[in-house]
Amino acid sequence: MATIVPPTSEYTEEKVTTVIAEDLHIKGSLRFETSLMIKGSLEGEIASEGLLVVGPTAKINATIVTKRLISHGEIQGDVTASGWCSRKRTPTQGTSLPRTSSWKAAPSSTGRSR
Amino acid sequence: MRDVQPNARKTDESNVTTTLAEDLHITGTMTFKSSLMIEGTLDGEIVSEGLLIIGPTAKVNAAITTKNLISHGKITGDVTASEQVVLKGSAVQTGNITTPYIIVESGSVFNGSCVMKREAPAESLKPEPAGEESTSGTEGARPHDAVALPQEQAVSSVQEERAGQETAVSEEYSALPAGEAVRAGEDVVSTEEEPEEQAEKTDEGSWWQGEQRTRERTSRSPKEPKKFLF
Repeated sequence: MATIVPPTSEYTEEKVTTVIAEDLHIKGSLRFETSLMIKGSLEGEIASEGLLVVGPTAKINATIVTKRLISHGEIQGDVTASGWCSRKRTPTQGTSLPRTSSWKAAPSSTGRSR
Repeated sequence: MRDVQPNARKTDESNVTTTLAEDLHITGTMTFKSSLMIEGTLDGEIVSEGLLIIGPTAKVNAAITTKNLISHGKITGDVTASEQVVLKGSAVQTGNITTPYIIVESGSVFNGSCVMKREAPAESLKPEPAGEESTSGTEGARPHDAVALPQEQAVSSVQEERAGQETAVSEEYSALPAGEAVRAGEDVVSTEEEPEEQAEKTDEGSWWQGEQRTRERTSRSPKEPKKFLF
């Protein structure tokens, strides 16, 4: 049975439990249960049982283990999504790449971003 | 740093840039510039140039350096705020606070010490009147001037003054031959740091070492009658 991926436009800032602003920089590990959007920078580790949204201005250098992932920004590190993940390109990330590309991750699958 | 107490309205809790929800747990170092509210848990360190709000459900175990802090929750760790700290009625603070201004509301718990340092008023920084000589350095410093000097300079000025008093005592022996007088001056100055074992050896020393012992007593208690062992 195929996993249904909802459109990323559903996940606006208002619907996300926590939004980490652009001026916030975290170095260490971060754990949450519901949903989180990162617009700032993070270096370390993210563990989640919910939805992680990486904003277009975000810079993530971390090992990510989550259930669902939507990325508009930069991620360096291994990503493990037990549900699905979606990568959405923005114009600032280069015009040579498709503007929008998304993919599904099979349950418990691991993929390296970038 | 300002002399005027910060306006409470400027620390508005409604316009917070980032709110970390209850389900968010962070371990590590966090830095930000504008404002942040924590409702979850954090272990580590927070460095900020803005406003940090600890929500009522938050548990923060961290060393905090910020400009303004408003706490409704539980903080374990030292807090340094360059402008103001507000402990609301539900706040529990375990750790020291360093800030120029603090508000501790009724019901809050504060276990620690508080250091409040404010910038000195401009009057105390005014130069001395033109009629008095400048006391730059330690040469012209009087004993009470040493209080206003930095610690190292104050110590050196006191040492110089003591050395001057001891030299004055040694000058009383100017009748001695020139070489002996110089030696006497050196001995008097160095007796304070000389080990007692060496002082005991003078019992078997030459005649001028016996004289040195007499001068030691003289330098320690100038009011005692002087004894000359010639």
